[in-house]
Amino acid sequence: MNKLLTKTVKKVTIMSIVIAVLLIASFLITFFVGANYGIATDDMATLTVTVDDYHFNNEASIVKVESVCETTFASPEVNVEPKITYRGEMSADSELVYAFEYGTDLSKAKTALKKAFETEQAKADSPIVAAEISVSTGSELLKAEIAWGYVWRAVGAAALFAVLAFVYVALRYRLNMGILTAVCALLAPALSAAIILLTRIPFTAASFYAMAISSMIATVFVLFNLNKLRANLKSEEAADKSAEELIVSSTATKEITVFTAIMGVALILVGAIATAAVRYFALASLVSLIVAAFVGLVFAPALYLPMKKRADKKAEGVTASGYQGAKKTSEQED
Amino acid sequence: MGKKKSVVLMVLLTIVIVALCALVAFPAFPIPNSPDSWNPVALQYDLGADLGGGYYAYCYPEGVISETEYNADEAALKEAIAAAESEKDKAKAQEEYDEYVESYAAYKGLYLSTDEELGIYADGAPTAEFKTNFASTAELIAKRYDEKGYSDYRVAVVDDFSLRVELPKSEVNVGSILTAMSLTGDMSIETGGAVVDELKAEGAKASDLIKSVSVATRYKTAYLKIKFTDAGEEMIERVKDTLSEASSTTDSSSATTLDIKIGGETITQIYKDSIMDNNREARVLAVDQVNKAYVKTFEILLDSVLETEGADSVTFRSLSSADIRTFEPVYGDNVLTLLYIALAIVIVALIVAPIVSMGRYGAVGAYGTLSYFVVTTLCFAFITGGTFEITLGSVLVFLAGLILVNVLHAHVYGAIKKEFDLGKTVESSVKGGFKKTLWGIVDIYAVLLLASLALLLATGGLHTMALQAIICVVTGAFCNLLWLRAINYTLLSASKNKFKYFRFVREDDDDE
Repeated sequence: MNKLLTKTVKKVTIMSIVIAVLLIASFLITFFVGANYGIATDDMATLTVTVDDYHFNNEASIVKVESVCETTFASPEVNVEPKITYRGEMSADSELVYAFEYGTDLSKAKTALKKAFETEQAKADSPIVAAEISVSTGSELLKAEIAWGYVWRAVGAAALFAVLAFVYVALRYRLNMGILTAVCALLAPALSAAIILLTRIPFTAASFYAMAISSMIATVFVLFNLNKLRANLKSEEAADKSAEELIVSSTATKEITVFTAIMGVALILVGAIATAAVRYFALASLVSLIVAAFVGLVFAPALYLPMKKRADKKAEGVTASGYQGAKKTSEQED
Repeated sequence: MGKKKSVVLMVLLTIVIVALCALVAFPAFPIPNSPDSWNPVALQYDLGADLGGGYYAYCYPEGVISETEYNADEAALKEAIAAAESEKDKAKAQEEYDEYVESYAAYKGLYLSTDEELGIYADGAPTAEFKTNFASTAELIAKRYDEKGYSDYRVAVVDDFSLRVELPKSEVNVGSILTAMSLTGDMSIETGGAVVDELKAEGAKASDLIKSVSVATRYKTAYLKIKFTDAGEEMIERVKDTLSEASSTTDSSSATTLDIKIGGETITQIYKDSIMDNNREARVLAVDQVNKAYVKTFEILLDSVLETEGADSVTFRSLSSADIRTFEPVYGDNVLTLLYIALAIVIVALIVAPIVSMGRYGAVGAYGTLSYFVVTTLCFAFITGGTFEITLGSVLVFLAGLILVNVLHAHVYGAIKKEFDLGKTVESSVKGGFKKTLWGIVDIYAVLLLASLALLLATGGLHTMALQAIICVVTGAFCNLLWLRAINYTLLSASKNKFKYFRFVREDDDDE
């Protein structure tokens, strides 16, 4: 791992360019194409089966209604597949709303379903023989899903956290370490959002949870590094090491890897066991976790290297251009 | 601490933790010979829309009905024809049926009124004016929901001329919100059933009298603050003495109030003692601070109406409670069970793995895992500050905290081992390891606490997640900084072989 870090620690410019490209590309694609909100929150075609309250709440009846619907949808002449089903309960009639991809032609399904219910209700022993059932179709165009107020407040919270983290770390550690923490706290959620949008993972209000956690985890990883770095700086061997060696040896590889591995396995498990909505959320969280690990393990050390070199030079009295003043130069020559 | 005392303490602690774990997670079952049943804490959460479903309702403009409603009406009229006994009744019922069928035209999944006065449908198509007005009204309503700052909500246009609004289950005022948000039309200010003189003049608007509307909080009470313009102050001065006082009114129906109405619906009533600050403002809709979101709805509504006064809009039919549907999680009602199974596997893995890798010191981590689990799950269930529902964000923040507690515990183990490798005694290594990692752990939790506090600035689910993150951070910090250290010292003092306790091997010991 350290060999890899020795290579990546000097590549901050390339990494910054790639990150900037990802951020800009995701912004442009979202602006022009829009985000993938997922079936539950996107435009949809719907087929609604309204059932009277008594039969809706009767287990045998509602199972029969659902079975008639499923059989009809799967029949060769209809052949449509609902993505999700809403079971809408009201005090009078209740309904099953089957949601399909937007644009799906449901006219055949509607006719076939009406016929299927008529046939079923004609059977004397059917549990829905006296049920009042009606079938209708519709199409829904999304007007609003994620509130802009929600987005701006979340961005504000991220910015506030970056400022607070900067102040805390700058006071407890060093000024440049404070800047590093603040940059990483903002970069992790931004990069997570960019990758989620670019990979077309359904972007819902829950994606913000993953982004918030990404910021927190990335900051924890950076603090693991800074703790180790502070301890290493105090050690006697620090003087013999170059800035690169010192930063690479101070990266908390073990802690970051263990945390990422356990959390990753947990998210994969949650995603594998749970249902579609949770699966997409687990996927978005996994992306955010990997981004946090990248920021803590690869980007933060690389970003800190030029900061440290600059601080070291300043401490030695050398300016960025290499000029260290006539007096110091003459002292060194003597 | 003596060995016996340590053993007794650990046994008691284990019993308490196991009992609390059972309280949190032991599966539900009916209690024999009793009408009650046992329900663990894990089944008592308020759940967000992803896990617990929510509410939805269709909002139809005046003159627009659903296909289901049309079919029901048509069937009822057909039945009336069939049931008519005399020819005269039959003809009358047939006439009613024909009239009804002619009064609506099918449009996608809706039926639009062909009544010329409503101006919805003409010449075989919806009128351009209705299309424009509906589009602008839909924008307006969507913007209102946007301003509410929900984390889980959805507004969709159904078949071009109706709206479907979906809200999370955590919304306790769902009926009043759905009704209020779909109110359109101009604002009128009335007293004694008549519009105030100031609004009778041609071109006069409510915004000439009301300067702003905002939500304010005082003494744990949230209320709506209506600020008046100079003209509004004059109006208040004129009518103030005719108004009743809320404090001395027992029957509100007989009271004289200044009513603020939108589209004919009374939004709020101003009593004489609601008027403050020398007629500059009125304080209405006072509720407990916990229900601030309820007042916020009316702030959004009044603001939106004042902003768009005079613009053309469509009027929506009023919703009744029977129109609001509740729905289970759309991805299936077993989503929570599956999630609990996944979390149970993770927790068991986090108990077993440290024991396998770090020996008895790892068992201390198991106590940490269970303590964190018990404290956070109990806090999640019983801390109720307004909206505190369990969402996918809660699961994520819980998991991250749990793993951090274990990673930091292992981090301390690494530091102790490092000290031991320097040749120190076990006791000295433990002391050194804890000391060297203390401030690093404090820093991590301090920054995480700052993150959670900053996240409180967010709204909806993120705000709730921030509250839950605070619980997880405080619990995690307690576990890593105090609890696990105390348990470690107790277990270590009860241990006969301290090397074995940490799975430490000293090379010179082997040589011996």
